[in-house]
Amino acid sequence: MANIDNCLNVKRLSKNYGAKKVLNDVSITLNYGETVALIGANGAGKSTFIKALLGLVNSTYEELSFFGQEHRLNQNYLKKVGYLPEVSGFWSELSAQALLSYMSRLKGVESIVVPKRTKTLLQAFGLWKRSQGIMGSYSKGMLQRSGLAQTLINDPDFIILDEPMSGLDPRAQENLRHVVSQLKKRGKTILISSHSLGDVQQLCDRVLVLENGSLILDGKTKDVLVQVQQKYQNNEPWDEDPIVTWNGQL
Amino acid sequence: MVNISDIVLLTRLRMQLILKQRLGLMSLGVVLFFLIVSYILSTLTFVNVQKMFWDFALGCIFIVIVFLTSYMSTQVFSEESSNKTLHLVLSSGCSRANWLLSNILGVFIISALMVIFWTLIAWCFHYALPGSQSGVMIIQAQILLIFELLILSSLGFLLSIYTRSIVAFASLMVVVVFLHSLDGLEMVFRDHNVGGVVESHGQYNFLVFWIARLFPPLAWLDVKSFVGYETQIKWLSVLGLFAVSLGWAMVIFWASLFKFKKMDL
Repeated sequence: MANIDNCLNVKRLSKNYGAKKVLNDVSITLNYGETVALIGANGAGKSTFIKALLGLVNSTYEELSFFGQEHRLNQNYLKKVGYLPEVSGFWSELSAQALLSYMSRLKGVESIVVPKRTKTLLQAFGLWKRSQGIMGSYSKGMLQRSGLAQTLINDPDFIILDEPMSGLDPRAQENLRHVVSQLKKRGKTILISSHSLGDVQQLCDRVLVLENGSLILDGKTKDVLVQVQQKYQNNEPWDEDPIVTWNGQL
Repeated sequence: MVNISDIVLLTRLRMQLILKQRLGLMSLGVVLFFLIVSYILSTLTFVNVQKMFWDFALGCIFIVIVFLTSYMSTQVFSEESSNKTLHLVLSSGCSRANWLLSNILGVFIISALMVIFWTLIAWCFHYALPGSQSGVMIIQAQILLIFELLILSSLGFLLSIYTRSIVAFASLMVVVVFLHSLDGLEMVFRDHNVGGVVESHGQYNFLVFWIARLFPPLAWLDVKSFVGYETQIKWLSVLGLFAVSLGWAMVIFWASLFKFKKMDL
């Protein structure tokens, strides 16, 4: 029986790609209103974990439930989730307005609120003037903002952001931090996958650390970051990395 | 679980995306060009002008639409997964079955509408030619072509889920030619003992028998069987062929879904 007191319950989630174990019995619980960071080196399994939560990759688990609903029984809970992928998907032939219109209906937003919400989001993210233009002509920053707008179109209770700062200029990053802090104030549950410890410190209440597919740390931001910094200061693997011994000659 | 509103929405999206591509306009241009050529060729003949026109016109519509439908159906999956829009849709609570069904429907409906539109244009051309032609056989031939497009749309998705889109497209083209050639195959393997010639292929008759029964019956839907435009097919047979085509499309859909559900995106 799924626990309805938590926004997300994951017990013993594992994923293999052939013989390689990408996620190894990961168990986490997210409470309502928490902002949680998921950190780890490249290849640690962060994106795979997020995809497994959303059913984009097949995984094995003892329990996987959102808002108390078992994933196995029903995936309708996804209509209350907002997901911003690391590389935001878009149809280059559509405009941002058309994208939001389709996504809102797909996520079951009542048609009466769609126009107002679409306009509010497009204005807030500075896309209103170009909202009729096709997305194939947008800059990377505009695409990221369109992606963020589609993430929020259903006013989701749970928001998953997969490396949202990746490829953004400093100003766009600052804007995104502002958006996350506003969502946090509104009591949304947020899971952010990030490499930036500064952002994690500024935005998150809790940190989960993945290493080689296993959850090695889970605790309050301040405590975990201290442990992470200590770990990296005494880190042997970095010294063993071949790139450190390269003298720049070809 | 089937969600009708998701299916309607995504079918509309697929149709809108296809219409916004230049492919539709380009193929309309190609069809118009061939219709004009058909018209000119038919005016050069002294025999049945109408038959000559419709032979060329229907043949060109058939080739262009089969090519176009095969291309569209084999491209969608790879495009949607490479530009991550598939992730966007599936992470919004739409099931994989609904995504697959709506995209097959989107490609099929657009293709069917193109056939209807192009046939209407050809119809306008034929009024300018001398003689008359019964329209029933032409309508029936185009209905059979639309049934074939239903099979091709689903087969394109099946192949593109199992392999790369370019390989899927090439394979689908081979499959189309092969399945339209079952009569030819039968000729090769038939035991020709009529007229005193006994061929050694008779032992392979069982192959043709099973191939003809196991694969989608594209040969049954072949326009060339009806180009005489003399004998109308019974409407009950048309209904029967629709049932067979729908059955095949469903079998192919389930085979695609079986693989698609196991895939990591």
